[in-house]
Amino acid sequence: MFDKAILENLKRERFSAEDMEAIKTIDPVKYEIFKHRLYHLLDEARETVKKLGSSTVIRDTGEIITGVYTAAGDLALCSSTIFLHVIGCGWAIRYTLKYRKNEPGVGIYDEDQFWNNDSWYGGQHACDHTVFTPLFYKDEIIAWSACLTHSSAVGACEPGGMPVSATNRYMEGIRLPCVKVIERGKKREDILDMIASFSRDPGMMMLDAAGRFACNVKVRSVFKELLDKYGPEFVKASLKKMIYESEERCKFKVSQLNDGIYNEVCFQDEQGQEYGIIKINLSITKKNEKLYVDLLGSSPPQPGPMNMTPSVVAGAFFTAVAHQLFWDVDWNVGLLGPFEWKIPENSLCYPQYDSAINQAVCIGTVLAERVRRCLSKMMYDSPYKEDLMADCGGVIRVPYFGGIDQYGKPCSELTLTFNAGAEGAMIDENGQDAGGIPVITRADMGDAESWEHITGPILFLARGYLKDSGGAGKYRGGNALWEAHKIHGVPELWWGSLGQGDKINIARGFGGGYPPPTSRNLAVFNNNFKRISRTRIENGELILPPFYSVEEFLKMEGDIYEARGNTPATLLKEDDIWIQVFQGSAGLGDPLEADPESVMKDIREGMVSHWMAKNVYLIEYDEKTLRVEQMATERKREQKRRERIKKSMKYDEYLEKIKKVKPDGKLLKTYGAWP
Amino acid sequence: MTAIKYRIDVDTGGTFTDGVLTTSNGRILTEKELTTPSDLSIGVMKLFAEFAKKEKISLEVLLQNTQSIRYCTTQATNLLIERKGPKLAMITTRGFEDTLRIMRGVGRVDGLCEMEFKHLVRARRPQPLIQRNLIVGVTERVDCKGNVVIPLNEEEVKLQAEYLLNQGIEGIVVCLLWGFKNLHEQQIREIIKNEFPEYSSIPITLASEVSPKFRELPRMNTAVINAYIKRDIEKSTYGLEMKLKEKEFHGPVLLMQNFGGVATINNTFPLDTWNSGPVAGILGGLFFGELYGVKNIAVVDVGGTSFDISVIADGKYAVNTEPLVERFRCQGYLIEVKSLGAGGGSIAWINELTGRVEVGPHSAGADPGPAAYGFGGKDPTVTDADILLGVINPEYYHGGRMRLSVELARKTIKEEIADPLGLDEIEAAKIIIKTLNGKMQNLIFKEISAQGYDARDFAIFAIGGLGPTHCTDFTEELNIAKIYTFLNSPVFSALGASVSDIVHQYWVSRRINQLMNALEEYTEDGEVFKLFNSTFENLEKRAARDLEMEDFEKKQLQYTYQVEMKYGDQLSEILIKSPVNRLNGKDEVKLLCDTFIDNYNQTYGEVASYKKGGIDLETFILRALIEISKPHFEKQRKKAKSPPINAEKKRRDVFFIDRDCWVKTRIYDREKLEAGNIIEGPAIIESVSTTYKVPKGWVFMVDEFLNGIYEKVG
Repeated sequence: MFDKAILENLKRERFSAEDMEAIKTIDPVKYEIFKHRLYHLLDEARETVKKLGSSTVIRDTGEIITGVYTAAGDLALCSSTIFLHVIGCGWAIRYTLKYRKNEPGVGIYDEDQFWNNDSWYGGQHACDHTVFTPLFYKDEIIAWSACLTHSSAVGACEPGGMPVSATNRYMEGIRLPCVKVIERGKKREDILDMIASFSRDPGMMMLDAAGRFACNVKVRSVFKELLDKYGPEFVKASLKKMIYESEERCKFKVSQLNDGIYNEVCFQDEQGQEYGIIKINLSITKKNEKLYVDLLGSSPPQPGPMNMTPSVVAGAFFTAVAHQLFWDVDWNVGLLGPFEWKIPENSLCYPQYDSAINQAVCIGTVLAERVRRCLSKMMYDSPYKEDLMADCGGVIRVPYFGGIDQYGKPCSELTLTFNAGAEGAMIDENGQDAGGIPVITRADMGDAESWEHITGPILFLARGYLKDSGGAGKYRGGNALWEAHKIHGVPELWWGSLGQGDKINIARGFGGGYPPPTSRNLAVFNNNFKRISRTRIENGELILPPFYSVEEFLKMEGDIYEARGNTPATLLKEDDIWIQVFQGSAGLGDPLEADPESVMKDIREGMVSHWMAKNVYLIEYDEKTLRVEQMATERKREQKRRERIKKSMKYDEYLEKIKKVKPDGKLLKTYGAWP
Repeated sequence: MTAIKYRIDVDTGGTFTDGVLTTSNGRILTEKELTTPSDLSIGVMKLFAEFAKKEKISLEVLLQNTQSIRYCTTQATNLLIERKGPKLAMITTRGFEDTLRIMRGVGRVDGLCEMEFKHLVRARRPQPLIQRNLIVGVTERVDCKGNVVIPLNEEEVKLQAEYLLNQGIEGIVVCLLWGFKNLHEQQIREIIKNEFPEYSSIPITLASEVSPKFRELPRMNTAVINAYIKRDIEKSTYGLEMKLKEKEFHGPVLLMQNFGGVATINNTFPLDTWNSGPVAGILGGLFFGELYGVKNIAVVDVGGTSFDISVIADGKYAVNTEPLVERFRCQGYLIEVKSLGAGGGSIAWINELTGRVEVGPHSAGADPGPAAYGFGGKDPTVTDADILLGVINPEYYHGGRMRLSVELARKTIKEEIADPLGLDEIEAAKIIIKTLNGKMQNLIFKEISAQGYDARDFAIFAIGGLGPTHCTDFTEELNIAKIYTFLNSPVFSALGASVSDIVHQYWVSRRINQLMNALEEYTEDGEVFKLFNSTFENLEKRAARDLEMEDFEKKQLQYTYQVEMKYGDQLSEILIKSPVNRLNGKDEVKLLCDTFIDNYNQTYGEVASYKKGGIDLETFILRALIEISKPHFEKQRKKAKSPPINAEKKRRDVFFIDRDCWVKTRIYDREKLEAGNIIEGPAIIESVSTTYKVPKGWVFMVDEFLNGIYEKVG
């Protein structure tokens, strides 16, 4: 069973007076050289894992972390492509030190490797596998090397590794709570065979694992050279110095923000198994160099998989600060230095041990966005204003599938176009269109050909920008993507979707900007693909197949099925089509202040529609030439401003009005106390 | 008397155009001219005129007697950076018109350095090469096996082509999903040609002909960049060829290719000239490696603005199969060169966040250059630090052609680094040099390690203006014991071109599943053998046809067969040299699979292998080579160990970082050293183009080729 004392400790190890003396006295230039050498080692090891992996999440998303931790399990330096998971391994190392080291029959020896994928012992959910190894100098553990990657074929009750129908941990596939899988350099084939036997796609599981093992072997081999060269005392002091420096820098940056209480409440439409409103209630009190976090008032544990553990909560905070405010320091546990936490037990942020939690990354991403929004508010009047960003979509929307592929082999995968999600508007420019999401630093959605050729029996019919999907604003939010696929080359395939945000918009505009539209899943069965897929020309006009736009898709012949964000696996037949509409990001500032020429450029590039330009941006222009009539535009905008003033009401009146509104009780079953 | 014959090799860099002239009687001449960016041929012709002057003959006589000219051009880089290419349009599979702009999302951070991509909120994609309104889709779809799922609609192609042609475009790229698996791209070209003959001058580039390999974004980028630079590269290179013909040159101008080798202009894909200069340097490294019997080499070029490294491991260079060309992810088999923004002109600055000194990536360039140049540069640079520490002689920079100011170097280091940190300027200069060396050392370590090797087993070839100056420092931590420097290192890339053979490269994706299955059984499927054999046979035919058009005979051709393979389920392949060019039985299949496993284990370690996944083959690559005679380097007779007296210059104080003190140091003139001379450190050796720093514990030996070798002693 997990150890509460370990799990609830989100702080680094306390440094002794001797530690501090060593940190302050080591040769700074030698330290820099050592640190960069270590970083290059981790970066190169990460690239290696990317090449070796089988999961698309590894190769395309590049969801890989390679890190070196102190002897006590605090992350000192990493090369990472994903923020949410960066610090997760520390708890697993602490657990291993406390419970495995002196256990007869287990122990910790040179060249051992341990495997953890249980969030209660650190990490995110069962698909995230961390393998870690002690780095010895003679008989002393000096540090740890860890490699985390995502492999989805964990043998859960649905393919894809994140079963939306799961109601408890026992439906979520195999859990490995810090299990020794390599002993003194030798693979424990019995244990590995057992792990493989749980998987729908054992090849994928084992190839991904091989990458993690190889990473640790590589890091250990070079780390030993560094220990020989620099000596253990220097190395230990350097690792602690990395943490100390990051922490000091983060505290300094926090101290430059305005003190105050920053609240963010987030409502989500998906409780896991059905539509239902749930809430994350976040309050951050900023005082001097500290940030006091309180999540009291968040919804209770959910019956489905929309729950997270404290390590996920910490990961969400890490994501937000690393993305927006602490990007310029070494990413390690020092980034959490300014925080003090209150994470209420028996809430979706800290559920029961047997709760399903496989969608912790979904709810964790939502939390990360709320934290980022608090930060944006803090940064607005600060030296860091230029890095302020409006809300990103903030929802994960991942289709998954499983079955037998076109080569007759088992497959179980997620598609990852959501990786190219959009980013919110900045204070001086539009948001990034489909350029990545804050959770993932180097997200890659992969080529359609790569998916079709290697990953599964699907055929992409379209994949492009979705017009108007970025929230309007003085600077608009980034546009998202949409895509259409059909089942191809096999008679059937299980297909489902995970995520949230079809009904309630999680992203909100900033400083007068508008939110983006929500995301959608649609499928069409019995569509007579061969007939509908032909383009015709009638009266000189092209009549295109209906799968090239979302609007036309809805008119397609066949049985249209609008699926929830969280849709359990459904059996699709060959030629059935599904489309996925991802969420864009929020705008910043009033759209009436948007530069009309910038909007015209967006029209030329297919990012904004004429409807939007005329009705939201209120621009008067010639549709053919896109020539703007400046005076007429300004008149129209001025009139709109006057109308707004007329419609306005006092804040107290607004509060009175809003208090009278309450959603249908059916939607509040797992919400907790209203409001 | 037989007239002397010449071969000339040219490398146009950003600042200088370097040339090497090799005579049939074994002499080697080198020359440098300023590059003329507006018309590169001007600088090149000036270079030839200088060679003629040195040979005391007319330009016409020189060129009449020149057998070949090899040319590394930097024009592809210039065109891409300046966005000076033609107005292109693209036709793609409907539904995928945004692919080029989305760049898989990752295009936003591709090619950025660590601090740039960490600042994610401000990371942006490069400017696209084609406007969105000039990218159109046509309804069609082919699947991964080449089956037509949606047929091409010809009427739609006509409508879309008409729209594009009315936009004043100067070229069309066609790239369809799985376009290399069937004939839709060719059909589109035919429709446009037949329907719009008045636009016959508009070139149409088919991605399936440029790179018939799966993964649509890199294939698309490869085709687009090729089309984008083609017009100007051809204009410039054919223009040069014309100018040379007018001056009586009758041989071919051979362009250096970034996959290693040269080819005629006609047989060159323009993209293959990108970064060809640094690649030529690696070929030079390979050539000298063979000459010295060294198989593990890191070729390290430290110039004014950048530090380039390429690794030769076990006599082979690394190949990048998805290279980033000016931040665009492409396809190809390019020799890998990694760069760091760190060189003599790199600016040192204090990182406000950490309070520590950083060096680069920004550079003072040649103008204003380091503060010591006296051209108005205010930022402290590496060269300023070297001057302050007495390593570079301010009176003998570029052989005395340029006088540098120690006082300006001191002033800027004091004001910008030393005073803010509360240090003296010598301490600050030391930190600048140590920081630079640390960065270089880490990149060398990373690149060697990435290929599964140990840096201690490598020799360094230190080239470029600052390579010989800093090489003993930046290798110190790596325990590298031998460093080679070259008499011609300032023009090393041009020299590398001179040893390049004629090479053409062809590839195609053809998947073969489970050559070996999970039970470690090897396929005996006749269809598999047929596919394997016919694929290489077709590539051979293409190679023979292309080279015969260049008047080479088939019998001169040497083929190298390569394949990209992977364990089943894996998503990335590795490139290996195939031990067989035909499969006729399972023994050959086993040999092929064993070669893959050996290469895999060498690179990633056995712990990463997964035989239970079986082994798949994805892509076939053929290199067709025609060997060309190489320049001959005459050995000199070794003379005394002690340098001649006239090589000694006046001693001066030099600060040696390794000893952390000033040393009254012996100074030598590199040009006056003789074969066999050995100089023990501490010493400084000055040449026209660089400075050699020999710390205590090292010796510098001039060998029979007059190259200088550093060796660690004690």
